[in-house]
Amino acid sequence: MSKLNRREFFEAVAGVGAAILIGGCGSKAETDAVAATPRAPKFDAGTLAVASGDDPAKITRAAVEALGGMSKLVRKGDTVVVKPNIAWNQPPEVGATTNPKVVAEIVKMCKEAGAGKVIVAEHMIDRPAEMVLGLTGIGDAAKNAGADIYPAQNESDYRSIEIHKGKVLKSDTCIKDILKADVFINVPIAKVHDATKVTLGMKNLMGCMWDRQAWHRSSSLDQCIADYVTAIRPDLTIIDANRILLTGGPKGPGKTKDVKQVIAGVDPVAVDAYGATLFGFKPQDVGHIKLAHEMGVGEIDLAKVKIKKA
Amino acid sequence: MSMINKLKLTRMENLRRVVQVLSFVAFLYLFVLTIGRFDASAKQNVLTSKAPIDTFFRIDPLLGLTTMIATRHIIIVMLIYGLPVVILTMLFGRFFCGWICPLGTTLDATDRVFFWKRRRVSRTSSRNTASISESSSQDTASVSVKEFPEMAEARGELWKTKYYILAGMLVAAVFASQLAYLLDPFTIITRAFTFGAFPIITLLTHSVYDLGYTHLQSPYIPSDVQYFFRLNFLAVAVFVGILAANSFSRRFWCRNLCPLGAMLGLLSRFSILQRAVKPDCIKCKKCISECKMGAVYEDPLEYRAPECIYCYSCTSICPTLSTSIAPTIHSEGYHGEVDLSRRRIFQAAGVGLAVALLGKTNAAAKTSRSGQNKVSSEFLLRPPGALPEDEFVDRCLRCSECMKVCPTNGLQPALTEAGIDGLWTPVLVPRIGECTRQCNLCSQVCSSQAIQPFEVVEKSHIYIGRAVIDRSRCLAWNSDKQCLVCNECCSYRAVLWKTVDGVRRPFIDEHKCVGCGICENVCPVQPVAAIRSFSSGDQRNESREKQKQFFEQKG
Repeated sequence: MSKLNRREFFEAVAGVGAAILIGGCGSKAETDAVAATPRAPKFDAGTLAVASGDDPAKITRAAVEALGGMSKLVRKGDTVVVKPNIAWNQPPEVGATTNPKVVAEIVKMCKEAGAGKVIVAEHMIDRPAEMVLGLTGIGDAAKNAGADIYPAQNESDYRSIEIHKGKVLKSDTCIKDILKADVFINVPIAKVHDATKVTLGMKNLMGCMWDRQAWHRSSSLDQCIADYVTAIRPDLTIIDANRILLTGGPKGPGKTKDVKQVIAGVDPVAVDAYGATLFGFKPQDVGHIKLAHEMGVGEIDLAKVKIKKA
Repeated sequence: MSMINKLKLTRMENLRRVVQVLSFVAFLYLFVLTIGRFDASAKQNVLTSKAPIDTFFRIDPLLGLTTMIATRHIIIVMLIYGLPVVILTMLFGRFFCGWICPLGTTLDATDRVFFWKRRRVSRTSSRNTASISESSSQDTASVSVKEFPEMAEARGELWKTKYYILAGMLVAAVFASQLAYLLDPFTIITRAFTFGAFPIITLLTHSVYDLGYTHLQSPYIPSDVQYFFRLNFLAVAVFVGILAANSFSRRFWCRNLCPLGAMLGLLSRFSILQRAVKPDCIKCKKCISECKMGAVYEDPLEYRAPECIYCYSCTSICPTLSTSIAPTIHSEGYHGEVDLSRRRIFQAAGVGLAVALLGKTNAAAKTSRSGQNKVSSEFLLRPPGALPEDEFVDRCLRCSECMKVCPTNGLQPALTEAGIDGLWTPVLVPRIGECTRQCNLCSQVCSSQAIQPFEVVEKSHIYIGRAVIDRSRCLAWNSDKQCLVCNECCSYRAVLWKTVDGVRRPFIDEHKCVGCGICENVCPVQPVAAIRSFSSGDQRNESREKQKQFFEQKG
């Protein structure tokens, strides 16, 4: 239990007062300009790291090391947002949510690299948040590794964004902490998905915005996914493929396969293209991967990508 | 000697205040604890506390009696908790109202805040006369107590109303209609807290969290779900109305209307704890002006015992210290009987009967030609474990605790779905929140067991309804869109898809669908979902085994 000192208490009381005064009670998402400052040094965008092994934590680290190590991406004092898939009330063995060991290892690596704050954020579909965090095991794993957990379950947790390159989506919302973060790491789990064939990195970003239903109502869900990546592009995507869900996706339970791999890369399309092959799909056959490639988000042809095995 | 005596008597009044505060704090504490938390080892939601958080409903003999009469069932928890209150009341009178009842305490406290002017006038005038009476002769003192409207009210007949209300409720209960929920003080105050205060607290705390003060998060206030309730105005209005009625007289509700008070009053007829006034009484009538129940109303030597709530105010105010409340076999001036008008009792019984019969003949009570479901209530989704409808409505106390613990806020008070009899009973409104699979909290807090206990693993075959797809509006069926959100989110794998004309379109497996409503909750079609949970699949009337057999049949 952390104790409040008097100063913090007064701050909090002032906060309550301010919240009521400025009408924070029912405020809608406000527009925040996305700070798109180019950051260097970064990993090489043309490289994918694929690590295999029995220990999810070890291969996660191996994959990031193969790209050059987390300290190449995260600088001292940075705020890092890690976005795993924590959508469902399912235990980790079902394979519907990111392996908690993978999440914990990423948090640890960020901390080792000197990150000031590591936030694990997600818009969960099942409720309540505490239960989802508990059942998936990510709550304890991330907390013990030193992360703050931020279930973005209210509309006020979001800010609206412009999507200039979007074909269907012209604007949308994003969790405000992701917009403010210095580094954004996307950590999906590889699953089949009954509506979009597979759910990998780009599809996982659907948990960053408020109104998912709008995408389903739109003329093309695949196009929405591709549009969104043009605005909210993760600095690093790490796919958890320790156990992939072959049927009954995205929520499971279904048939699973222990692939025992972790794939890391900067290019969101290339990572997903590799992920699709785990299910035996050609990347071109997955609508949103193809569309994202066509919009210039990344490379779909794995022959043109350098794949480092670790 | 007299000083010591005076201190001791005053202490009794103070002791009562302390007990009142403690009881109210206990009530608040139990209310705050009425919330779930996730238990990692059990892999389900559990209550934050092992304490019986519905204690106040269990000990309430009025709710226990009417519910047991109306349903013709012995409800063990209510019996073992309620009986001690009955026995203590028979021995020591209606102390419950003055010492324990949280609504009574609220009335005492708010009376001090909102009607302090009148109170101060009343108190000071008696204090002044007290000083006069000690110095001057007895006759002058008796004249100088100021007359207040509530003293006139006490001499009238209004106080008998509560007994007629009780009579009407008992008659209704005999005709299988439990009406105590309407006017029972515990349900009134809990409903006001759940429907009124709790959502406001979540709203304000969310604003604080939004500003970044997430370290202030408390396990007792949900951080991810903002609570909303239908009819929150009505629940609060009843409560505020009762407080406002104090402008007529102190504890207007308790002295005139409360059926629980009436029941305890009748039970206290042969109480051994009695008020006695020594003959040296100077008839200053301060006890009359002080008595907030109107129990002492004309002659200071006499009182209506069933109205006395043992607040000990008359003993402390008495300038000559002639008044005492002590174990006595029979004191003079004790009037234990309640002199009711037979005509009015018949009238009340008639009203009770009429209300019961109107409820039974309301269209909501009509059972459909096939099956046991009610015809008029296609959206009447009851919480899992709920008894068959008729018994459920009679048992449900409308205490609102199930709605407070519901982690998705999906359980809402019924408006018209369940007919006039079913007001405030819990209904699942999937568009607000679904019935989460790993949760059975509502059954854990139900003191009358209108929601029967069940295990989380049984939820796969407790059918509360069934989802139905409206293909004319479904995005996948009607506009060939990439949408299988219902299939994605289903916790029971009851929404399947098949490729029809090249597009994946959803189907329902009726043996798997229990009607939890998550598909309706997430359906992108606005404003009414294209997949809705209807009560047509409700199998409350079947045994658990039968429901399990149905589950095991292949769709």
